[in-house]
Amino acid sequence: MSTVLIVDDALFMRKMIRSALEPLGFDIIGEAKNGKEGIEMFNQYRPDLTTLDIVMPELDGLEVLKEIRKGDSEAKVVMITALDQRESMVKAMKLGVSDFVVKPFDEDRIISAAEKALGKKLNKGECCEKS
Amino acid sequence: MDTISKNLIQGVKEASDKLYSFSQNHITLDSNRIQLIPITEVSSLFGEEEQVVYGVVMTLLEQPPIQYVMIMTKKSREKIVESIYGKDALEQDELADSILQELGNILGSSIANRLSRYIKRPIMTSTPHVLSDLLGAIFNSIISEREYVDDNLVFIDIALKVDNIPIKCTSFLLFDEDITNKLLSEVAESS
Repeated sequence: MSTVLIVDDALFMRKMIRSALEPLGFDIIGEAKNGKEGIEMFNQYRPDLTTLDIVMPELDGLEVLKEIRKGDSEAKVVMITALDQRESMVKAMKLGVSDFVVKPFDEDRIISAAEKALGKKLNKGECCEKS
Repeated sequence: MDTISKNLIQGVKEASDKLYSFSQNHITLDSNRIQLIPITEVSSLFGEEEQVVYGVVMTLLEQPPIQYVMIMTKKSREKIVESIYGKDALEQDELADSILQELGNILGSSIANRLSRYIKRPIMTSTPHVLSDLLGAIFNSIISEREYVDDNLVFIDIALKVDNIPIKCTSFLLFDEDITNKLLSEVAESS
């Protein structure tokens, strides 16, 4: 079962992402409310996939992404943000993000981003193999 | 003001599609008018001077300071939260506030995205935060924190409807008009 860390300061968004991914068999191993917590939890759990907001207290998502990728160059991260700006996308891509999802999103978009990040096709109810 | 207005109108248009999707087709948004009004007229414009209202506040830019504020009544808050997450969410303040935060985030970020395209530079907004107080107190705290010198602010009259029923919710942009327009134009020209 693949593990997911959700990093977003908004409780509502964490619930939305969880409800999109859990039915696919993902194990949501943690939810971080800010960037600093996100880095700590990533280092603690080493999830297969991390979803990451950009605008957050403590440390913004791009800085978190930089830290995560510094420690693990293979880390799979999907950025989820309301900031639909080319520069942020380019910066995130250069830092090695797997996909960039603009809020608001529908479930299919999150699922396709997870599929792209993990390199697997996912079906509801099925568990994906741990990578 | 023209520069800001054009970007605001576009930003609101983009936000309306996003909001419709965010609310699973429950919430629609239109902008009736955008105009500069004196800060002193805010309370009489929105009404509800003696009632506690909810505000979602977001800094779009630090320099020059531009802040986006969305104001709604308690009843509007309940309708919005219920339409997006159901009645249960109203029992959980953190979740209800989080939903309002995201609503403000969608609108504020849409405006920030438009401004970013205009000045061809990234804009990193602040995290939106939710306040609950008398309308005048909300604006006083924002203004005193930012030391705005302008007596006017931009009133973005948004027509928000939940399941086609209009709700009392509107928004404003706080900034110093002269400084902001000058700086934004200079940046856009040099980019």
